[in-house]
Amino acid sequence: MRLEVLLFLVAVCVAASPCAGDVRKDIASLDAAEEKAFRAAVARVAPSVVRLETVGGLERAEGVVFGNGPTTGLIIDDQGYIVSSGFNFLRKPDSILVQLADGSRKAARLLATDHSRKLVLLKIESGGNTVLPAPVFAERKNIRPGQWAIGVGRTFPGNHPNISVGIVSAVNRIWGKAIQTDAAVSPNNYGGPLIDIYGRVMGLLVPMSPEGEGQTAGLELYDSGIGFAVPSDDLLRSIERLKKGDDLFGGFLGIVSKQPNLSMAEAVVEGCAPGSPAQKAGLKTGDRILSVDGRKIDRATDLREAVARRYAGEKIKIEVLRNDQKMPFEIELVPPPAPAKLLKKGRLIQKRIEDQE
Amino acid sequence: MSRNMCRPHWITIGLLIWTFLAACLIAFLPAIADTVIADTIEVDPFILQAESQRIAVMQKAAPTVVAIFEPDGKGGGSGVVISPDGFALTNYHVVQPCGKSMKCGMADGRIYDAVLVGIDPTGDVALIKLFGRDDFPLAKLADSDLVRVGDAVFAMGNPFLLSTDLQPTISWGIISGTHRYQFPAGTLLEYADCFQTDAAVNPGNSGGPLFNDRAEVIGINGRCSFEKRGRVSVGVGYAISINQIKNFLGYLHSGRIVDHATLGATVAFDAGGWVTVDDILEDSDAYRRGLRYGDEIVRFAGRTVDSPNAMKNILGTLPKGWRVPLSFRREGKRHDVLVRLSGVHRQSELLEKIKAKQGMPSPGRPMPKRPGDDKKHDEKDDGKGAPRPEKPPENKPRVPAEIPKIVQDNFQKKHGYANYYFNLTNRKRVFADWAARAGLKWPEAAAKAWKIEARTRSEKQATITLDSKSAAIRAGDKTFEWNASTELATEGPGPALTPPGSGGLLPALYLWHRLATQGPDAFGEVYYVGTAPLAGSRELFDVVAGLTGDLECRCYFDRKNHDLAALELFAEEGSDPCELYLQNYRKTAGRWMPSLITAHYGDEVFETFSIGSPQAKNNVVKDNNGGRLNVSQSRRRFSGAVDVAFAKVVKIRGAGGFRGMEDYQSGLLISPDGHVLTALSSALDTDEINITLDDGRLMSATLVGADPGLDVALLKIEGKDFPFFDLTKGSKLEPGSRVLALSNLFGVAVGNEPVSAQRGVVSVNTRLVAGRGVFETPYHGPTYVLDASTNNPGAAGGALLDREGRLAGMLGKELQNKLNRTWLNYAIPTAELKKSADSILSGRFTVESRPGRKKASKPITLEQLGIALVPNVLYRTPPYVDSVRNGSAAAKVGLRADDLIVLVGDRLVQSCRELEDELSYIPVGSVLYLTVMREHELVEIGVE
Repeated sequence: MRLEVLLFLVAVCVAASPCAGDVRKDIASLDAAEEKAFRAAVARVAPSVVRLETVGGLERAEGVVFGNGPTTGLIIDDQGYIVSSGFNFLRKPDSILVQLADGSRKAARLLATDHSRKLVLLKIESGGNTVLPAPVFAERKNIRPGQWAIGVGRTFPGNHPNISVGIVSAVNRIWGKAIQTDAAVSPNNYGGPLIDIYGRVMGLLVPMSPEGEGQTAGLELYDSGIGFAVPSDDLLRSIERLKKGDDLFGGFLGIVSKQPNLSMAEAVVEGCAPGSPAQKAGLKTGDRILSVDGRKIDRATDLREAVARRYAGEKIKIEVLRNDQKMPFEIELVPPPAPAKLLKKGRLIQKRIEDQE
Repeated sequence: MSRNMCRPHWITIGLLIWTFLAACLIAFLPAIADTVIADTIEVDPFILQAESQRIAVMQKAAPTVVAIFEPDGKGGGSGVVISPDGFALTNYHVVQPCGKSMKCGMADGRIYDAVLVGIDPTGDVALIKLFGRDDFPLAKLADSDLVRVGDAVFAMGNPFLLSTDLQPTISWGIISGTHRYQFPAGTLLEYADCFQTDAAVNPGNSGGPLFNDRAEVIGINGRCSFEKRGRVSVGVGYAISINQIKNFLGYLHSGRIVDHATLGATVAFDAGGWVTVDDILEDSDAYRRGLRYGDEIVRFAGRTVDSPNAMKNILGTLPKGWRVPLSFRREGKRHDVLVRLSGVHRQSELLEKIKAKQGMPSPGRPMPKRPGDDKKHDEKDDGKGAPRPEKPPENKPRVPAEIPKIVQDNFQKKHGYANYYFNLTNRKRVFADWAARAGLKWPEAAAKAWKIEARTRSEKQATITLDSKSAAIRAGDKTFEWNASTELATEGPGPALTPPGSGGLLPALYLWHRLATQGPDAFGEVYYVGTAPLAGSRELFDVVAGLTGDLECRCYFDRKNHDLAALELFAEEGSDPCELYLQNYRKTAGRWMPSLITAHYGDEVFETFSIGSPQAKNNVVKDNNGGRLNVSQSRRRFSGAVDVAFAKVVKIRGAGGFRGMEDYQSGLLISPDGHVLTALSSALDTDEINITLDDGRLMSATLVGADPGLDVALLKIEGKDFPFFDLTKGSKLEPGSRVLALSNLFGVAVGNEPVSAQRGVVSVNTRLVAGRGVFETPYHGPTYVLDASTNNPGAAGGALLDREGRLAGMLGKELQNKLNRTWLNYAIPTAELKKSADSILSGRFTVESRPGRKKASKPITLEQLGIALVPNVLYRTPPYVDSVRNGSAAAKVGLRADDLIVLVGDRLVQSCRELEDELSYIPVGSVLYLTVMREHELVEIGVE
């Protein structure tokens, strides 16, 4: 009887012990714990965050005078590929220097630009004893509004990462091209990663704007609590294509909407831009878009998102309803035309659905 | 049994092992889970739990948020649904361009039609109603009196029209200040007693909710402070408190255009620092209640009044027509009264202002600045973030979008109303409930006369007779009569207010009878007013106004049991009404009647009538204290150490600067004798520097000295035992350290109002390279860069606290990061401040140049080395080598034309000028280490 009781007590104690005083709860308060966690998350990604310094190039472009200062990039693999924000390279610099986390500097070449996602891909020589640690990426589908979002840059004297802390504000912005954060996003961290509390890269910080497509669009929103990051999934897909050395442009279809608010408008063709792929493919006014690439379309915003996702040169599958008949189309997207083509007597005659202002 | 127990050891051992393994699994399961998800990074589940909770709370709130558009889809603001049938709150300035109809997008992906219900233009609030569901997800309203500075809050809405997928944008922050005041634009859009938050509020967030950490609405966002960056958030947003909105909610439901309260008196600090009346209108109710010039105000509407601003704040939350308690003191004696508040505007005035179409700028088109913007924008904003009145944008009228039928069915136009339809529905509701309660049917077959036998206060028998034509009271040998047809005749003097001294008891009784027997339709003009307290009660009553002939009355209906609780007769403007209180209802002679009728006039009880037995007690207790519990005095949610820091930050006001530089900033008390450390700025270029302490004391300060190297100045005020920051006990911070910035940014806090708190982290420890325009700050020393928006007017000289309330630094000035021309948020660490303060106190001013670097007396030159650069024609000509002299030192090491010199030692040189500057530190004879770029490769050379 006594042995039985003793063993039972021992078993109970062993079972209960992990519940009392978890060793990881030795931190006094949540604030202190979170502070440590921010640092740990940044430390995890910091070896992949590099400092880019440029020499020469334009003094100004797109109405912006450039500072001289360094900008940020992200190592994405051990082959020497580095991704950054296109904003940093608008000035077409003569030379690009990459300073790695260990302080060593390397020359970099600009390989290609993704004009749709505002990214550039650089390459430095790998090999030797150069350490090029790739970060861990987080999948977009697991990102939730309200979770921690930390922006990391490397632009201040001293080559230490600079960080800003906020939350994920929304997961589907700028026609699906960005996740949004209220962490401070600015030239201090454009080109750097937006990480979660685990230190995984949710996306790459770039200036973006719902209006305007230029590489500096959105710059005026810096540090406003509205910042954007290209999600990792899109980032990695884009990089695979940029590695081939070709610039990427957003796909232009040419369906016109006259509605001032696409969230309230139906996905009905109200016209096709002259000479556009939509027109050439035979889409007509009155056609109702049912699906794009297999995704159901309810509103005009759905259509715009579906097109915004794609690049010029890609084929897009569209199903429309015309006179109660379903008609499939496969249309190759082209790069967006220069705005001048749509001007007539100095006034925009039509608004392209991809050009909502 | 005992025999069985001793034998099978292997069973018990096996059980033990199994239990042990299970326990281990339970202990480490969370870790395993982390590991599996996060690829070997560990995050404390404590943190993950808090994060999940926040995500869940925001997810709970999201479905209640509304994106509000004009009927044709243009524009854009936000709102929040507060009832399942679709009533939603927003700003007046959001609905103003919409007219009566709007389109509302919600997170379920649907667009709902909505109609305007009621507006409060002065307070910038509007009520709308969405259609299409009777089960709208709704947000609970919090008690905003419980909100403290430091509380975590989040804003949701549609800034910059980013919610194209109809999912709201969330921004998170803290409450930076409570009971803040923002001046109106004209007399509209006054934000009194509002919340200040550092959660990002941008154009488009207007009208949207500010939630606490339980997804309850504590305020409606609507204004921000803007300055040099145009209309983007700089961390200072303002939200109307939900308790203020609750005061107005009944009024908004009435479909009227509602107005705010005025007391008819103004207050100011007297010489002794008391809040006293410094002006009063003789025809105001406050005057009639005895308030006079020089009286000291103690309490108003249930709140303590400790400054004129407090009075302004309280008044800003009250609707016109409310009757609230006021306590004042004269010659040591305290008086408690109830005052009726009149309106800020005359009705016609208010309507004029609304018509004047103060067009609010559409939120979709901000005019923010970009760093290094070529064009010089002159920011003509008043700096207080009031939406600027603009000229009507288009010349030709917009073709109005078709108004949906459901909106038309729920709208009725009438002068003075936002939407008369809702007035009718509420009026109908109140009277239907009353009729059901009291068993009334309208119209009565023959308007029955009432004969009420009662006993007066002095136990005399009285008979009250009321019929459709007259009212009469016979008490003892006295008879009073009042004939409606003669008294309500349009010519001649106004109706007699019989009996004398009653203010019109008989006409009041007459009106009661008339309403009860003939109903609202036959009464005259009857409209629903809204909800208001009665005789200082805490609870609100439904109020209906009736006008017949020259008599106006207000009827108060209990919202729980629907009894008519009181009737006030307003016979003459500028004089007290006769107040009739009807209590203790029961069935008497087949009718639902009060068993106690009390008539008040002015400050006296005129008479009471007890009906039936037993004698009912008069329990109309005028609650002059407002009945409000004294809410805890703790103003802030911070720990004790952080809380006491507020008293050590001061508000400084100096000379008006030139070029629009503000003349106010913040400062830190650093000694018990009154030494104040602040930023060296042009505001201090004056003999009259004033410092306001946290407790509101205004003191004159003298400049002790300044350290131009650190951009820091030391002031002194007279006194002792000041709370102060001990610079020897400052803390050192690392990137990621949580910080709190305390400062008087935008000069929001005046008098004894606490400075503002902003939360963030240290972004990086670095050297300062900053300036403004062509100016560069001489300080290149250690600096904390922050991610909180401290780069705002008035913040310079404020405190940077660590998580535990210790001083980590002093907030810097409004400078730009020279490297990328963005506005920089930075603070100078305490250790540097200490050195500076000591230097100033010991009479020395130090100017630090680049530490440790001295120019060489005989520096190396490119010429000596045989290097010729390309001509330096541009402002920043890259240092390309143009040619290398044959046989020179440079030629010997292989330097070539077209090489780009990139580094001298480890210093980057981006221009010829920078290269030459670098060389000036290197003496002749030493080896010059260069790194050059040659065909995309870096080559290191040492030139001797």
